[in-house]
Amino acid sequence: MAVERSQNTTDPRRPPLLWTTALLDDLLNNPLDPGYQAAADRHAPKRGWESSLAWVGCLLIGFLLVVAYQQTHRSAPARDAARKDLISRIQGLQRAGGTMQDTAKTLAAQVAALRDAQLSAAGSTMLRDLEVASGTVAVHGPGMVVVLNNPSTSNTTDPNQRPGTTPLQQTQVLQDTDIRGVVNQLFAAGAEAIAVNGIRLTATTAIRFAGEAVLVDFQTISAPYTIEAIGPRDAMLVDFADSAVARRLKTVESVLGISFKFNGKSDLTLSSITVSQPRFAAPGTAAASPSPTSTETSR
Amino acid sequence: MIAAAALVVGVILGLLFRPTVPVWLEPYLPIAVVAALDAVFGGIRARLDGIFDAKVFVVSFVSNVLVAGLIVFLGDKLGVGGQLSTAVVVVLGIRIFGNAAAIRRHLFRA
Repeated sequence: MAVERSQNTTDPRRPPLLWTTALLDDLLNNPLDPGYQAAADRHAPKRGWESSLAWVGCLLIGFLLVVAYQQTHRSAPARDAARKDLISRIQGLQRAGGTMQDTAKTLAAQVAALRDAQLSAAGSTMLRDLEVASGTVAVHGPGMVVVLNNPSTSNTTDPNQRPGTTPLQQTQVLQDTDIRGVVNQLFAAGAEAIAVNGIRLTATTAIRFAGEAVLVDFQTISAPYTIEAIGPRDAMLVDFADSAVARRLKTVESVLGISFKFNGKSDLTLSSITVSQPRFAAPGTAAASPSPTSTETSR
Repeated sequence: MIAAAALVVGVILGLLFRPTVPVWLEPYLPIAVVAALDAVFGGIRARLDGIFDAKVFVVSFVSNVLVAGLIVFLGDKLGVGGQLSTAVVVVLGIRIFGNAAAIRRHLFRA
């Protein structure tokens, strides 16, 4: 019926419905630009340049349509390709890094074997102890595991359900200080070797915070954080459960909803890490320190 | 006929030159496309009505694109850009539909 009425409204004798208040009615029934009717009413003589004007207009429209089409269909794959390229490059570099690390470990094992062949049994055992303490060999033994995880709240908030609207403080509760606190507490409780998310801690390992990520030995790790420690299991468990760090994390767990679990393990295996040889630090002749391992291997 | 040829030439030019749209212009491209389609359908209908006028056609096309872009630009600055571009698309879409219905009546007498 709107169609029938619009035939009436396009009656040439009728003035265009520009000044009515029924804007929507006008919009629905009189879709043709009123300028055409006005120009026809003026009976202006046809000019020669008018057809070329229409030509240029059509050219512009065609150009615009194809540009819009290309823009829509070209930019998306380009972005996707760039992203895929970056991902593959990152994965390639990670693979290369892993391979080099494996090579370094193999070579270190060869060096250790050759050295053991040259050394006396006593020297070899002493060296082995030092290596265990410094983290250059994989170790296994009884210990405990602490698992920390951020609260499992979704990253949308109730009012609008748009992702990313929850403040970071509510989703990223755990920081480097929490992990460092746990690690320090475990060392204080007698741990002999500790690994965080599989990264063995050495004397030169830093636990840092950068942006939203925790860095251990300058490698980014993400939640859940698993801290494995080898040491006197029962004493460590009791000590850790009683510590201020564990109490604080318990409070955070009940208030902010992080997950915090720890339990003993009868046999843990911690991987080794390649420690660079000291180049500047030479052994000093100063007074003997309480434990030889802490000075020798801290380099 | 000549208009269709010009349209095709425009398409070929676009395919040949593959122009890159600046980033700041990208949000207005869909609006410009809808305005252009409105001008095309309006022009075809006016031709079928026998009142086509090249000047009106070109001026309405250019001014529709510019005004629609300006409205969306102002909306972006005032925080209602998305809603205003919806409004522009709705208004121009209704006009396109109305003109398409008129063209259909002309062509098929139905």
